[in-house]
Amino acid sequence: MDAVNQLVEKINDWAERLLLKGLAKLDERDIEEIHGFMESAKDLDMMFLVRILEGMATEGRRYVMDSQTVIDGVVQKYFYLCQYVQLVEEKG
Amino acid sequence: MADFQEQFQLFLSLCTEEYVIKHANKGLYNRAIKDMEKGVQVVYTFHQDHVVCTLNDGAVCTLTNHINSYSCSCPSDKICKHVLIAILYYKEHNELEVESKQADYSWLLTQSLQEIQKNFTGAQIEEVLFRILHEEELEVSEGSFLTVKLNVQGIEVSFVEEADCSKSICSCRQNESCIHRLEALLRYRMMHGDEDFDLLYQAGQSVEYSSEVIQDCKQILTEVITLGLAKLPQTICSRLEVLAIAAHNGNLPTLEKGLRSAKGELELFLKRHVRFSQEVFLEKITQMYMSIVALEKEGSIKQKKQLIGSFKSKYYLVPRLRLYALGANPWETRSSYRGITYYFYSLDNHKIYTFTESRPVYYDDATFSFKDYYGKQSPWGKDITMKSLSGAQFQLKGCKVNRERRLSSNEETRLELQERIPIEEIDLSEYLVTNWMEKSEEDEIQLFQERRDNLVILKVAMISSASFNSMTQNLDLVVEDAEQNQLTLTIPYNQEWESNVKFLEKSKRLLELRDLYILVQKYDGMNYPISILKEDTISNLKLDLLK
Repeated sequence: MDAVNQLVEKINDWAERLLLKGLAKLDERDIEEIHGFMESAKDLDMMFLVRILEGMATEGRRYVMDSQTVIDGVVQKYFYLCQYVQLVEEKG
Repeated sequence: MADFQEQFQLFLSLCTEEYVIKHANKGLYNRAIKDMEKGVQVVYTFHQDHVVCTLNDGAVCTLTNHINSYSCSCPSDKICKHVLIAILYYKEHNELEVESKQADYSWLLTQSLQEIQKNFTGAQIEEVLFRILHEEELEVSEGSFLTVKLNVQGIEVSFVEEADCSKSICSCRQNESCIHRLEALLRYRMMHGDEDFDLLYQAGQSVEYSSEVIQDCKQILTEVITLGLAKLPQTICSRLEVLAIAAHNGNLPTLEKGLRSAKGELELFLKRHVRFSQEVFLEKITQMYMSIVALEKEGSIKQKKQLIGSFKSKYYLVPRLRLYALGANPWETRSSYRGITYYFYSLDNHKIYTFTESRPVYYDDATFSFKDYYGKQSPWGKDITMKSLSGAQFQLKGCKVNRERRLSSNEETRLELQERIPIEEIDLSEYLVTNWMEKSEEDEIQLFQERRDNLVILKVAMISSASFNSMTQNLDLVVEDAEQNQLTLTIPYNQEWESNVKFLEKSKRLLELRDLYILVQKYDGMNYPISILKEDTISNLKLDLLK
C-alpha cells in the first residue's frame, strides 16, 4: 500500500471513530492526531489536504478550548475532510 | 394613404408563389389561379391602413400590409381563395413600384437567446437542447423564406424576414410554438459555428426547492454527527423518515433518497445488524451534507439542478440513432430485480446506449425467465427478436432516449435493419482498450455524481486459458493483448448459466480464437465479460447457450 493510501486510511479511521463517539466529544488528543496527519500530508506534498486538515484543527481547537463555541464550524470542516478522503478512495 | 399604398406594394412584392402557398396551401392557390383565368375581377379601394377588395363574385375582403391580417365576407375562418385572388389579381394587373430587395435573414444568427426563448416553454427548450446533441441532415434554402429542412424527421421550417420565430411556418402545422422551429433555428446556428446555448439551457430549467427542508436536513445531520452513533436515540429513524417526506414535497429528490438510505443504514445499526457499515453511513451523510452546503451557495441553475436531482428520468425524442449491437447481459439484484441489458454503440456520436428489460421478482407469482425475454420480440419492430437485435446493426427513427443514454421501448419508434459491418471496421473511440498495461480512461470522478458502470471493449489477441475456480465460484478467462499482457475476466457462477460456464471451460474453439473483441463491464476492480465479437458475429456469453 502506498503512503497516500496509508494516510487516507488513517484519516478515515479517525473520522469513523468520531462518528461513533460524536463531535461534541472532540478532545485534545483528536486534534493532536490531526496535526500528525498534517505533517504526513506535508511530506507527501498534498497541500490541499493540509489546508483542509488545518481548518479542521483550528475549528476543533477553538471548540475544545471553549465548549460554548457553536459546533457548526467543526461539523463543516469534518465533512469537508470526509469528502476529500472519500474522493481519494474512489479515485483509488 | 400614399404611405399605406407603398407598404401594401412592398408586402405584395413578398407574395411569391412559394410565399402564398406556404401561408395557405397548394390547392387553394390553384383554385385562386383557376378563378382568375375564368375572368374574376377585383376592385380596390384604399383607406388609411387597409384596402377593401371587392370581387365580382360578391365576396369582399380587406387586406393590410401583412399576410396574417385580413378579413373576408365568406364564412371561412382561415385564409381563403378570395384573399389569394385579391393578392394575385393586384400583382397581375398593376406594375409594382417598389423594387423587391434581397431578403435578409441575418436575425436567425444574431437574435438574442433571451428573445428566442420567449416563444417556448422550459420543457420545450430542454427537449430541443437534448435533441440537437443528435445528428440531423440539414438542408437550407433561401427564397421568399429561409427554409431549414430537417431531412431525417421529414420536417420543414420556413423563417420569414421579420425577426420573429413565432411567425415561422412549420410543416407539422402545429401551434405557433411547435418545437421544430426552435430545433431548426438552433441547428441552423450550429451549422454556422454557434454552439453556445448556455443561456437557453438556464431558461430550460426551473429550480424551485424548499430551503426550509434544507436547513432542517443540515440540522439533523449536525445532530447525528455531534451526538455520535453511540448516543443516537431510536427516534432518529422516524425523524429521518418525516424529513424524507418533506424533502419529497420540497422538490429535493436526491436529498429524499439520501435521507431514506441513511435511515436504512441507521436501522441496521440500531438492530446491531452485521450488514451495517460505518463507512457507508459516513459516506451517505457526507454526501448529503456537502450537497446542502453547495445548495446554500450561489450557483448556476445547471449546477443546482444537478444537486437537486430528479424524481423520474426524462426521455427525449431524438431524430435518428444508428446503432451497432455490442451484446446483452442478464442480471439480478439483491433487491430482487431481474433483467437483461442490451448494449448498442452509436455510429453517430460514438457512445454506448442501453436498453433494459427488467421486472421485480419479489412477489411469489412474479417470474422473469432470461430465455423467454431474450427470445421476445423487440418493442420497436414486431418481426425481430431481442436475441437477433443483440447481434444486429440497425437504425431507430423517432426514438426516445434519456440523459443516461437509455433507450425507451416507445412503440412509435421505427426500426430499420441494416447490414452489419465487421467490428474490426468500427471506430470504437474511447471504449477500445488494446493494451492492458495502459490505464483506461475512466470517467472523471466528481462530487455528487452517481457511480456508473464502466464499459470497455478489449481488443484481445487470444484467450490463453479458461478455468473454473471452485474457491471463488468464478469462471476465469485469461486474455492476452498483442503485447502478451494478461488480464483475467470473471464470469461468476450462477445456476442459470451453469451450462454456459461448463461449455466455456471445456471449449477448445474458444482458446483457438485469435484477434477478437470482448465487451467488458468493469466495477469494483473486476472485469466481467459480456460478449465476444469477431467480424460480423457476436456471442453473448451468458445468454447464447442458455438452456
